[in-house]
Amino acid sequence: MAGGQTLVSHTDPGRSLGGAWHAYRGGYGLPGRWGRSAGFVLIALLVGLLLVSIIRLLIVAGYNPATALAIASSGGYADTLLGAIIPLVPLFAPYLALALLFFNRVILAILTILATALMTPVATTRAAALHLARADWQSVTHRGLLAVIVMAVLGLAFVFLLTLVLVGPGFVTGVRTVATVACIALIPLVATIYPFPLSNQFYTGVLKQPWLPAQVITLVSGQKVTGYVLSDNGTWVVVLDDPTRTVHYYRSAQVAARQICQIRPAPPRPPLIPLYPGHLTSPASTPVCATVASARLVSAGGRAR
Amino acid sequence: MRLFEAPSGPPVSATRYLLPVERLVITLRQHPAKLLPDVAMAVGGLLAAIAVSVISHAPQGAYLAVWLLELFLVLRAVWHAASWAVQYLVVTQKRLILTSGVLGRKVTALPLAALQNLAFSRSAGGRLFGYGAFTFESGGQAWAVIDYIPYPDQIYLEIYQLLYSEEAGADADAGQGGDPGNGAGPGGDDGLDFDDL
Repeated sequence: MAGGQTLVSHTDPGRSLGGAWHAYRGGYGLPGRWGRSAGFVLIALLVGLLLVSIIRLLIVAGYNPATALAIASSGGYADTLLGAIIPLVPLFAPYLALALLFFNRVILAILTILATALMTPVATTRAAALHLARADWQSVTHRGLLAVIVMAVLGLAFVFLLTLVLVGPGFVTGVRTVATVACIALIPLVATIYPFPLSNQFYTGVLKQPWLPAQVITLVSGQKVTGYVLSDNGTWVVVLDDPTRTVHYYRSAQVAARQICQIRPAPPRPPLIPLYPGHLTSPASTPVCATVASARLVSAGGRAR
Repeated sequence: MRLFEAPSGPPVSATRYLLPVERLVITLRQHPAKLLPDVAMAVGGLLAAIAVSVISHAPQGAYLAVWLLELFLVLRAVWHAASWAVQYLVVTQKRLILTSGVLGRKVTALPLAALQNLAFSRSAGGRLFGYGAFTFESGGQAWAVIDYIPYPDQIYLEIYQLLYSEEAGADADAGQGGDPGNGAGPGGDDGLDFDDL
């Protein structure tokens, strides 16, 4: 585009006539342009994913290439990649939903909001979150007269314009308009219920944390090792030691017990819509590794071997 | 026959791309209804931003994000309005010229002869507000759309008037042995058209 919108749009089935504003290029077909863009995006995506997995692998390995190679040969790149992404998905899902709303991807945004409600832990209880929404509404309506008048005028103007949009450009455009406005209105509520992780320590911790669950491995000798089991083929157990980030090989016969644990204590926080198993009323908590390592006996329920 | 007259004189930015022998027939902007979604988003965003700003318990970063997004919506609406103000559709007896661009400039010309298959549609909103869409078809497939055309009925008729005048002129030329000095060409008031060059 030459500094603005162009008058002509190529036809794009499924899009309203008023929605598509691609630059006109005579004789240059839409499929060709889309094909080239898709190819470029695909290549960029593959290269990006490869880089992400390599960076994450090096961070987890303490920037030691030998350890990184040992981890990759034991665990694989796919695990590395998944492990890099999975911990971040619940945290950023609410903000992804807002971004999708703002940029008019309404159906995707609704699906993301639903996923967020089902998986992202809330900072407050559900009752408190609902109370927060009610309190927000009351604080809006109980402000000074001037603020109420300004909001009423803007509200009427918006309703009028929205009606024109629904009648003119159409229903889809109207829904997209509402979605953009809803995104702005929801930001404070989402930021309160799902606080955005801003500290560097959070990201350092997440990136350093391997994609595997931490375990306390009790050897036959009685020694306890806190680490991550990269592989276990029945003969050798490959363990990434947590404090030193070195790879150790133990014979399977040397391992007396293994118990899943978490390196740092994290309070169990339910999502907005928890779907617990019938016998649970709150999220199951995992013991802290330091506690397990200092215990004399390993609970029978946590034994893996 | 002139079915449509521009309400005011043609802007220089639209006519500077005309050849001296070209006769301007139509100059128009798209219908302002094109700007409705952007304006509605900016107004609705302002309402939402003011409303959430009076809430006291949200983190400070949330307010900053809210007002930055609202600023983005307002700037986008202004940008689209500026784009709308400088883009013109110009029809001469030979070409359809599209000019656009706020900072840069994009000019696209389509010969009228290529617009033989011009489809025309009006949505319910288009009928209410007075705009329509032209779809240029070639080989049975639509390849370009110009939406939000004001006075679409008149413009449609005017374009076909030009096309048929062109054909009638060509037939007349053929009937008279193609004498180049036989007078005005199709729709040419000044006696000059492309065929004379």
